[in-house]
Amino acid sequence: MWTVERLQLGDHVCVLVDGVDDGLEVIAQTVAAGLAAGDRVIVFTELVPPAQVLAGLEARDILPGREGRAGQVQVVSAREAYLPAGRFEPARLMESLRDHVERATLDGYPGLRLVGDMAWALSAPPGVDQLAGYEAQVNHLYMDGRALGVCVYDRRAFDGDLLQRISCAHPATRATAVGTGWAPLLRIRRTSDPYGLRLIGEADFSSGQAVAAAVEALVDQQPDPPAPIHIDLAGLRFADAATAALLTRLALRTPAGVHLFGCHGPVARILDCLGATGLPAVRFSRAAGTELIA
Amino acid sequence: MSTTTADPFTHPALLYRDDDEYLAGTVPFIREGLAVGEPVAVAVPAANLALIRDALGADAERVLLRDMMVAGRNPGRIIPTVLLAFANANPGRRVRLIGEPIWAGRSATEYPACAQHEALINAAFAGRPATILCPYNTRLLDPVWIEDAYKTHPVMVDADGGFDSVHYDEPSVVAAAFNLPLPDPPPHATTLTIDVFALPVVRRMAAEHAERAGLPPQRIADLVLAVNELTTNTLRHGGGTGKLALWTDDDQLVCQLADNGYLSDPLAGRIPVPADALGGGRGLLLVNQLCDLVRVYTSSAGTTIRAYLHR
Repeated sequence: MWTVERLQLGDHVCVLVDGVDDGLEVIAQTVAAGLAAGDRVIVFTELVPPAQVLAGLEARDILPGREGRAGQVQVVSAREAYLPAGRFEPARLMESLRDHVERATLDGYPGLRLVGDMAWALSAPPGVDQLAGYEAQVNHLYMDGRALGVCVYDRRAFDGDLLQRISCAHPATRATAVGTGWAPLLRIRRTSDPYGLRLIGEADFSSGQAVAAAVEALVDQQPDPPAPIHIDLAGLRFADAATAALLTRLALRTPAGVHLFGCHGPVARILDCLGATGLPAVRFSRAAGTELIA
Repeated sequence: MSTTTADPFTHPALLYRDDDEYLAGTVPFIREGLAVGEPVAVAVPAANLALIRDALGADAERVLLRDMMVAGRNPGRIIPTVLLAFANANPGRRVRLIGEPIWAGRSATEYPACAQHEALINAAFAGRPATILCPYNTRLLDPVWIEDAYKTHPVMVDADGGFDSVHYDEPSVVAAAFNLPLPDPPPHATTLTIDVFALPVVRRMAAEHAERAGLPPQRIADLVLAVNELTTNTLRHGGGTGKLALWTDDDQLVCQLADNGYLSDPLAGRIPVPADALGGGRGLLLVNQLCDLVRVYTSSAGTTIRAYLHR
């Protein structure tokens, strides 16, 4: 049993399930939460045909036709969405997802929730080797906070090494069935004024590729003229050496440096240890009135 | 084997019996460096540091003085944070250092890491313009430790002068002799089989363990950061899984990661990584910075790394 009530727009979560029924349960809860929030929900299904997903929702007393607006919940074939020309093309897919986000806004929804059964990747379609890279890149879309993504992977069907690489491309992974109270380990949000990034939670190896991709997007899309990139770390309880090194390197490769804001606890400690706080390119503000708390 | 004349790095051991011999072997060495304009740093235990400071008088201000019992508490961090840090802070210049990493209070658990450190200085500084003098107290130290100094230093200096050490050997060979199996964790250790999803659990276990042992908040954070990096190394290089053990001895917290990887580079965790460098290499360096001792046993069957934090 999984509860999605703590997911927010902007989240991108990898969910490992055991078999089709477990996956359907995750889909059903995502739909229910989306209806409750008034968001549009798109379900990408693979092993279970769309009609059967709708029947599964109905069996759980989730009735989009009655509770929601027409077109609020869409159940589509994952294969058609992810492999439109029979091959996996990340750039084309990202473009299509952006269109979905725009359309949801134009249709008056506060947000868009995407939940996908990723079993289509098991048939080894051309281009599938880009899957982990795609899962990292797609953080660019979610971190704007207008959509959330729930990627469902069957742990029994996927190779363990691939699953590890895929999960590290997500800011958070729900690896085991957990009761209520589960929340994503890390949240990544883009900020516009000041331009930068907000990290909330804990950043470690399990989200390393996601954070790296988010930082790349910051550099690529930096406004002109350049201003210091603002990294809000007030909500970050933990950062590992790789994350601290990534932020330090960001400071050295952007023309106006970075402002690391609200550092505290182990995050402040590790930035100190790696020498980040002494660099001219880094403006460093500790959170006011915080003690070192592990 | 002795060093070839082409290597600008020299690494003599100073064998001394008392304070007079200590000052006779160190103070002229320092003054000589100052006279030729070399940056000079001294990292020795506090009592010896006081002797040198007094003998130098006003010149003490021209020398970087560090208490080795603090800066070099963990022998694994002396190369990166004391020796190479000083050399790197003076680019293009010949530097002169005194480093005394082995004192009478070093424990049997610490000593193999100390000897490995002494051997690996030769590898870390090969080709660099530097002189590092390492004093050894022949009255107070275990005679076996003095014998080892002949293996880790190409040149020996005593009250009668300097001579080449015929026992000096390749740094990797000498360091490998101290690559020793570690005793099993005690039965009361808390253990966990780790995978990529265990990181938050590992951090919580480490924090609770440190809290129970009464560590102050900053040291709790240090243990959490160190355990996280060791676990991450196991996930990246150790086959994706391994076993964590945490326990408390009388006066120290111990955490251990065991996995199936092989740590092939004896200098891992000892070479500073520039802030703008891509890639990893910072994990073990950080563990060395944060912990009071790091012991490693690595073989084709796997790697065990044990980090100690004093209470």
